[in-house]
Amino acid sequence: MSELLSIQQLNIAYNDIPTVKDVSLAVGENQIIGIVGESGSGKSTLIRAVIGLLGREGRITSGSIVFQGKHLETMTPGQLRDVRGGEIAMIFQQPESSFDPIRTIGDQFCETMKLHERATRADALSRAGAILRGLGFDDPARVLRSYPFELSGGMCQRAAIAVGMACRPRLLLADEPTSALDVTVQAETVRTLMKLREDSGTSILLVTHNMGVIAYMADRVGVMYKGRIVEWGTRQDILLHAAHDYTRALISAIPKLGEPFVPPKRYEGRDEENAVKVQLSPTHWVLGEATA
Amino acid sequence: MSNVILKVEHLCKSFSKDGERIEAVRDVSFELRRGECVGLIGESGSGKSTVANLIAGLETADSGRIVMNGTDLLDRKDRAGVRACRSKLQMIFQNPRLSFNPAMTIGQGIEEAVRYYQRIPAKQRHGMMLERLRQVGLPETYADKKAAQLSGGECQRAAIARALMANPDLLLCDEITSALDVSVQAQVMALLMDIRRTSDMSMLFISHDIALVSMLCDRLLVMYKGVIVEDGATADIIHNSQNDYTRNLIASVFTADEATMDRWQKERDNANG
Repeated sequence: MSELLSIQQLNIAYNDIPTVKDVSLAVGENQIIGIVGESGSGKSTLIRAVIGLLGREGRITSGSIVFQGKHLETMTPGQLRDVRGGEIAMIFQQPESSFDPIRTIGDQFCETMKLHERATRADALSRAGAILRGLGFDDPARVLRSYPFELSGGMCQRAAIAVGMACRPRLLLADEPTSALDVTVQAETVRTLMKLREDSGTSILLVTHNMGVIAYMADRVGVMYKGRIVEWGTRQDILLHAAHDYTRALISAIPKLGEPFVPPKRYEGRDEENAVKVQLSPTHWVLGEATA
Repeated sequence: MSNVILKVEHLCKSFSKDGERIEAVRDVSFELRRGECVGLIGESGSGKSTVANLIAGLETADSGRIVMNGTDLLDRKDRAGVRACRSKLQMIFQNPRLSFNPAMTIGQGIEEAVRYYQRIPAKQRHGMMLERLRQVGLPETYADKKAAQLSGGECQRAAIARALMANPDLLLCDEITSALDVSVQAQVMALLMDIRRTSDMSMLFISHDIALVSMLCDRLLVMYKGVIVEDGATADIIHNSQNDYTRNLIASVFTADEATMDRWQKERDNANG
């Protein structure tokens, strides 16, 4: 499988405090990679770094982010802007916050397409309609005429996905896309994302703390703890055969439908600075002590 | 004394929004017994938070009765009785930061819970506050911090301490873990389970996370478009629901167990030919 995005030994600091430490991962064509971990583990920082959304305090201190052969970490803001929304799109936890509240969804489609592809308004709107219909909207014209606040949370998130898809990106970065939605709408959004991958082969780098969503969507899962990926594997490797104590603690914290409550395992983090990757199977590795 | 701590009868509430009348709560009736933990589930907009707000007196019902410990909370003549009764009712919200005055310390915020209802000497009240902090697993030094200095999980613990300060008979929990991530959520749940074991407080637990509610509650109420469509023991509702809406709601839950993952893998393999 060819690599679309390759992150190598990436270190990121916020106000000189390391938040992402020595992270390497690859996203293949047509692949869904899930990153899980608790708040503050650095998972959002990691995907924000890909399109240069670290803000003034955040800084890549070392490592590389290569997308289709281009080094994103050394790009100027102007160069990054061409990639953002074009070849790489991003959706966020709060769908309303990714839209301008005083302009219609249709206007915002047009803006994206004009910026990246110099499409005319008529072209942009007709393609927007087709994308929305493809994502299961019954009445695309109404959605395009609507302002973001006129849509429900779930509709708004799916519209944000649609706008993200406007320029046929190769990679979609999704930061907790379902966490603000309730279960039924969550299911709808997840199916929309899966359909996207089926129909257009878009790769997805998905950050979430919802293990159920990971279990459904991800081809590969990375577990992040205190800035490091501590375990990596297929969804079965991670969810059914977790090897790292932190992963086990995280899994024990997932609510299980219809089962009695069991207090979660506590994980007291140890310093993994000198830990090495232990390969458990061709797809599965875990950070651990070197066994000499 | 009756075992029923809360009795809600034919509760109705409507709002008008953009000239349209929205019936948020339609003829809702249920009972809560002492020590019972009941989950109220449903999608956003189903009216579940409105039910809690009506019970807590944050909104006024159009019609119906809310009887707690034998006192009708909607009775305007019995002010003293209602006031005494309300002091035994506490509520915790989704965003814990909003339940503390940002200019006060956490300690002051927790003490507020009893200042209006009970005359307790300041020193004794301070001692009670520190005990509540210990009970929810926060260090005593947190009494001097402000809400903004606490993490989401810590702040929710402090909000639970504030609610416990009043020794409530009934605790209303409105999406209290929805803003927390799984590991912090599980810790808050463990704390609530501990509290349940050590007291006979009743809880009405509102959440759209059905898996979570199913682990904590003895009984579930399923709400849809302002109506309670199902009321039953948790296991019956989860495994043997008679209602289409409930079944759909349960089917929407993504679980991460082996059987489900095998099924998904097969579906995916079939789709790929």
